[in-house]
Amino acid sequence: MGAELRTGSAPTDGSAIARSIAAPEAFSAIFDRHFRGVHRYLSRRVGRELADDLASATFTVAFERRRSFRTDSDSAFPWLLGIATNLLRNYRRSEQRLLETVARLGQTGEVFAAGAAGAVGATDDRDLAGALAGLDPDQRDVLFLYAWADLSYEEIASTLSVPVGTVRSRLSRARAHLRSELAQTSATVARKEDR
Amino acid sequence: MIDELGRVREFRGGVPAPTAEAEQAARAALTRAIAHPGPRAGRRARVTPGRTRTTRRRVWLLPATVTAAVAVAIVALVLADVLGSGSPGPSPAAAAVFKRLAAVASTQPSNVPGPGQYLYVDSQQANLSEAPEVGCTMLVPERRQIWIGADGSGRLLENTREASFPTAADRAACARAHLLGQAAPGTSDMWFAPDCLSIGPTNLQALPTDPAALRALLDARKIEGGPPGPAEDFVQIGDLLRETDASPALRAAIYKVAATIPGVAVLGPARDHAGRLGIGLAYDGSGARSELIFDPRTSALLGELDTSPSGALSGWAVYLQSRIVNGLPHQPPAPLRPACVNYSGRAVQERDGSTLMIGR
Repeated sequence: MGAELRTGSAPTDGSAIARSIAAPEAFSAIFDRHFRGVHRYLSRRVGRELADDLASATFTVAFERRRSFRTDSDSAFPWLLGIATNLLRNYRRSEQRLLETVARLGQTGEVFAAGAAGAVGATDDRDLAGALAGLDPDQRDVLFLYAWADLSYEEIASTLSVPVGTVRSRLSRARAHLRSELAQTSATVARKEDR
Repeated sequence: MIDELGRVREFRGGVPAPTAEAEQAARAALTRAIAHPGPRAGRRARVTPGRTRTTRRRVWLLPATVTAAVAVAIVALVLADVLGSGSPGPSPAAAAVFKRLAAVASTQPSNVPGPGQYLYVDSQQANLSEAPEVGCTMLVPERRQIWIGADGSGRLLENTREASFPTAADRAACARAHLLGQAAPGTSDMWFAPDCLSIGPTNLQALPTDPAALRALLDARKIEGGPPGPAEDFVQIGDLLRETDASPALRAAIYKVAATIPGVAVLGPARDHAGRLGIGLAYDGSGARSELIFDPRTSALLGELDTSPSGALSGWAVYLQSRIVNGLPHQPPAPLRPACVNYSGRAVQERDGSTLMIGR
């Protein structure tokens, strides 16, 4: 591609995006660094097939919006996950179906795609999947950005364009819901084993 | 004790990495976007694939309902500015011109394409393409035609002409950096299935037509991102006006907001790059000037001129036609279906030298 990528040492995400405003080719560096991470986040949420499309869309949308990136930020990853999470809003039913499938069967069809490489998740995730399926989608956004992407409250807040207080309360309600659901299922299992 | 967070961290941790094919397809999609970038802010209207929008968009058109009195009034204001003192801050003359344009804008008919109709905009422009780290600068002229369908379908046809170089040193630097390929003439022809084409920096129909509310959104950079300050304000005003479907009420509000930007100068009668006479308003920032030229009779944006600190022309655009047409000028190379869902989930197909954007 452009000469920009062949000159100089590895720039930060911020400087690569800043340069990409005048020299769009510089944006390829962002793809090289973050495609797999973005794809993994999406794949965990809605499965690989949909993740293929949405990860691709994340980068074309990010490129079009590159002027909105705060170029003093070191990493573009939170910003990219924000775009990915916004794209996911149109696929909340897909995520719901996936979680319900895992809750019922312990796995999804992906296990076949994964082949001998093994399971996408543990079979005893059925209770967790059921509990996650019962969460409000907005709470799931916060929970997964926190647990999977290690974003801070502040990063999640700016990623989702909500106040930090909202992030805190969504996360705490999500965790409370999970604890209570998981406690119930483990109690049910314990009772069954007692019999 | 239940470690719910620990379990969430592990949940679906075994998802497979993307296949090489998926990664390659995504890289190709990005490469196409890079090859046909939306503009740097400040020039042509951006086509933002995948941007979600939920409401049906209305479309702005500029048939002339001429009131000669308006043109006369504006000329009078210009004279007042020339004669008045050039104090810093919002120029009263610029504010008056923008307010007058707002009054004209609000009287313009709103023309929404019906089923099967398109808003057609034909423009010519030249954009500066720079690779500063290798010292290469070129000016790439193109003709840009866009058909924006009522159903979110459309076509974008761009014909790039031979690039020019400000100096021989630029040409040499571009050649050394293997960037001359980007200077060659070329055609890009993109077709969009219903709900696959969206224009403008945001969904204009969702913007308030109350000037104060619009100003607050602009200040917060919630219309589009960007640095703070009046220079960027002026750029974003341009983004809202060119090739977009702002309603008459919204255009009036945009002009009223423009009237509050400090540092805008009235240039008086000015010619666009096609030689058409209008009224020029300019913002000078760090020596670079960006100039918008309006038709006082219709409030339409006629053209733009950008000048670099050295005084050299660094970009221009002229909006030659903007009207409703009853169809696309050619058949698409393949059926434009399926439709996109909420402007996302698009698939890209190459067909006979054209690019098709369709739903999945």
